[in-house]
Amino acid sequence: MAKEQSKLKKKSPVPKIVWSILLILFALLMITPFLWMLSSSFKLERDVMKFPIEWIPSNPVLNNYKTVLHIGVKSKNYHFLLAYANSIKVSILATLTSVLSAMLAGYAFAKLKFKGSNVLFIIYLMQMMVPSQLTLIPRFVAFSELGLVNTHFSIIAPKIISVSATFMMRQAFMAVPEELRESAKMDGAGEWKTCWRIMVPQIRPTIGAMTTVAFLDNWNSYLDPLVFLSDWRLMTLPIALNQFVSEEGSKYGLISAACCLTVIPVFIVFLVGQKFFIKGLTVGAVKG
Amino acid sequence: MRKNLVRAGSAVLAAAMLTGLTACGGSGGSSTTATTKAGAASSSTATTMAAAGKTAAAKNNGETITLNLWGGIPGEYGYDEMVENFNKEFKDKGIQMEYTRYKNDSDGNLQLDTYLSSGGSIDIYMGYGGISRLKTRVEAGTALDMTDYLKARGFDPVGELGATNVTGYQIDDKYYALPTKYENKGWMVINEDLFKEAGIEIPLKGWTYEEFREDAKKLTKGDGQDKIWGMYWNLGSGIGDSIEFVGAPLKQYKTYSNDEGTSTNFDNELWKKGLQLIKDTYDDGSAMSYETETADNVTFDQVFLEGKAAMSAGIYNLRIINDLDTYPHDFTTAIVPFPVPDESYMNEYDYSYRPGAGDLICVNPKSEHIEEAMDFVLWYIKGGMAPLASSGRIPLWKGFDADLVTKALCAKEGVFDPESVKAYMAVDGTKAVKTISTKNDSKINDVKKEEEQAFLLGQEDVDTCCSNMKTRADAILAGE
Amino acid sequence: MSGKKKKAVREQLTATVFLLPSLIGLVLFSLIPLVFSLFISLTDWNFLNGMGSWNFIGLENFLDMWTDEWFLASLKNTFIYTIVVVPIGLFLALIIAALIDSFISDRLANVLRVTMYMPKICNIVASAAIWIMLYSTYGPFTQLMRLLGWENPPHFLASYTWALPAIMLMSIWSGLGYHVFIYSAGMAGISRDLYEAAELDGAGAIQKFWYVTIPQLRPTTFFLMITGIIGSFKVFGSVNVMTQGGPGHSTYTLVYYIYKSAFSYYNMGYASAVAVILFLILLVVTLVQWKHNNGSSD
Repeated sequence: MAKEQSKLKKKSPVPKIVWSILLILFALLMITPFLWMLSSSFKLERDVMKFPIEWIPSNPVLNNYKTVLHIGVKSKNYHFLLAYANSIKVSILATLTSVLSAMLAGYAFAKLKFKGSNVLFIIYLMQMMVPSQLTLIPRFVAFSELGLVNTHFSIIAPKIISVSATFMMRQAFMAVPEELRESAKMDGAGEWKTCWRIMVPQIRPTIGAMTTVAFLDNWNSYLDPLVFLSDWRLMTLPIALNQFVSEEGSKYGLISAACCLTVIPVFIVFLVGQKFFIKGLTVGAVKG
Repeated sequence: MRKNLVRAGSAVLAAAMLTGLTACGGSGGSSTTATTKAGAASSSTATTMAAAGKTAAAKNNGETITLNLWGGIPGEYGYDEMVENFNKEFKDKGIQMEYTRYKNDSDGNLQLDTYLSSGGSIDIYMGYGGISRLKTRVEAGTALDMTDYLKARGFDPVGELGATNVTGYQIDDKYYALPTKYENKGWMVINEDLFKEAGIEIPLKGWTYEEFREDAKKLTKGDGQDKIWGMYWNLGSGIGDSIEFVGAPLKQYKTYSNDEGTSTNFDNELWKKGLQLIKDTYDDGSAMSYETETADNVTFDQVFLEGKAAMSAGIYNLRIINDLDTYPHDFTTAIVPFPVPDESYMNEYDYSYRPGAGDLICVNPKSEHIEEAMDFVLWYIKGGMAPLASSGRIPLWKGFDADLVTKALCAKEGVFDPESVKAYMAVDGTKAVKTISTKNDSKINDVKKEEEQAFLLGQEDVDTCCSNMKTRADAILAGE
Repeated sequence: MSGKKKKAVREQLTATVFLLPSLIGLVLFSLIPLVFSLFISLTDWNFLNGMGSWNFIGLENFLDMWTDEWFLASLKNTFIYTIVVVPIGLFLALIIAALIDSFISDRLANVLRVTMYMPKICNIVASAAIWIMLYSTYGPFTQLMRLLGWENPPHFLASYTWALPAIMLMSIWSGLGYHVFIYSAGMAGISRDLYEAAELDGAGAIQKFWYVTIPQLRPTTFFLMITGIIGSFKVFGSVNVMTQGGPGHSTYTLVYYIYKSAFSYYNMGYASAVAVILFLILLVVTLVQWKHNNGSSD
């Protein structure tokens, strides 16, 4: 947001300070649940619900984390490290699948002339209206007939079609000057090479943005893994956490620790790569 | 199979095996030898090959088969040990087993069911949730009709497991599941120390609703976060097991009013009385409120085992009570029967008309190793499950000696009151009633749960609750 | 001539190759499922009866649902949820974005926006778990209510009246950061000249907000409203974790009911019919958006 000076800024400094403080407080309020969770995760069970809240635990303990990661305690068949590995695997594969397929299709729609291009594109756009909840049952029935339920494949494969990503890619490729492509062709490069070597680097920011958004979506995906994954050895983080929460009931310290483990790494990634995230999120939004 | 070998770590199982082996005549008229290393260690390792028929050994030539067993209990409560024993014993026959734990809640059961119905690689699984969930599985074709397999192996479930325990889980006179664990839902647990403190006699012989209410009031004390409740109903984790006792005196007509299952019996006065009892204890503050239970997600161990309630429903928690490592507590738990509506029902304690068993073992009909799986089922029932006994699962098979099982369960000093355990296990199991079930069980359960919730949360009175329950459930029955 | 034709054929072929992965996906995971769903919704298919054993019953499912308490509750709750969450979320975000835009230096503004965005990237199970704790009897939220003078605050998630609002509050919290971001981006795009012109006419801060900012942000608001409505109609995770539709059916939502009837009762036909209703609602919303977009770009 390149904005040198704002519309009201030069006026009196008093409201500026007041509003700054108020907004900082509000932002803090927004992340209070996380701060409370973080502090609770280091607390003994009996201290969690003390009021007024002890923001800095008076008896800090690491026990909750040890239990969740079962260091030195009995196994309980929830395995957060395994769930991490599953989440990373599934998210990366699903993201790659969707971004690559969208990239290729986007390129074809933007740069290649072929019969039925317009009709096909309209069909694509219409598919955008089909919610994944509607296709859930047929997908389940199909995978079930094929014996593919309870495999990571069943949640990765459907990501091969992402209409909105295809749309974004098409827009991005369209913005790349046609001359670039022509001159590459002149140099004797084939379509594949042209696309991969010349065109793709031009839309790197869009690809980065699409990738981060898709990754986050896949990382947090809940309904599909809930229906398709049965074995705890295959479960992704949200599903593992779901089980953990229902199992541990009101052991709030423990649950806080588990939540922290699933959330904090994502926060760190987000804070480090926020530029990409933000671009990814605002792409397409403002154009309306 | 030439030789049936029994190695029992504790005397419990040695004796159990000895009695049990006589029942295995069907597996080929083999000679029976039992070797016992009595009093070896407290950790009970019991293994028997009694049930492993000739079929298993003959079928696989050199290749190792892995059976997949799914169950709802974490492996460390005896399942890991049981599997280890099995693997040791069946290594030569080329059969191995892997145990996978699933979460026994609504999402977890759904995950198991979806996997089963898609032909997932599960050979054997333990089912919970009684006849209604079993019925769904039978309808879905995910539970094998074991009748013929059992006959071929000479195993008569009624004789070996008890009519009361078995008939309730039969569907069309067929065995799609065998109960393996004794679990009488007509009983509950109490904190004996708090009873003694309040000077109340332990109601081992039964009690009425009225007496129960009086005691619940007497046992309630304290305030705020330190309050100790007389009763913790344990309904928050989904009204179900804990409320079983309410309709229990109706026997087979608990849910349906006729044998065909075309209308429900929820307008019966006994339902109203039972539900009203629960509500009354909420209203006078002698039970932890239903709101708190659900909103705070409290679980059994966080209330009863923390000493925050003197009594609790949920007999399936014996395993947790016995696990002092994870849930340390220093009071003694006694098992007592649920109260009955009034004096006239006191004599019904003499026989068990309540669902008396759990842990329904099922075989996936799509399994590629049905014979081996069936062998495992019988191996498990007839002694293989022994390691589970000391962690709170009472084996159902008659071959187990009740006294010795009691001893195993009460191995840890002061955790359970042995007298009460004996009384609990001594219930006469011969007077059986057949459970009536329909395809719509799970929907009707949901309706029942919703209306019960509405009543317990004060949305409607007991008459409206029961009549709504009836109207809505009957409409579902009529619709299909 | 023939060279040109050859080139066209080759390009057609290349395009096909490029499109193939996504096309296969489109057919397998979108088109066929769509057709199958529409078909199944006209049958009485129960998954327990196996593939193929369905009876065509016409529109019966679609007629039956209007007497089905669970469906009606789901529909009602989903509507209430949408009608409350979307406007409140947008309104709050607009005010905050405007305040940030007007009074806060760029560096701090960015920090604030990123901070507010945190709830959005937290997975739904963790968010729900945190709020379950906040709403519990002695949880900070309940205690705060006591502190603010609410003598007997209810058990929010176990109350017929409060369970749905409790979930809605969490949703607003979760989505606010995103809305602020998009609004801020929109505000950055408003021409300075408009504000200066308004100032010349003697407009104060509030007038400028009312007469310049809000109208200029209309496309943004519209976009957020549409995506917000679509998202709200798909609400599932928070319900499944926090209340499982309860107490009673006071927090049943459309997707939750689809999940329940498909995978708990195995009534695939009926569940598909409910999914088709969801689809139709979203279709109307999307068509409105398209119409609007085409109208405004002309």
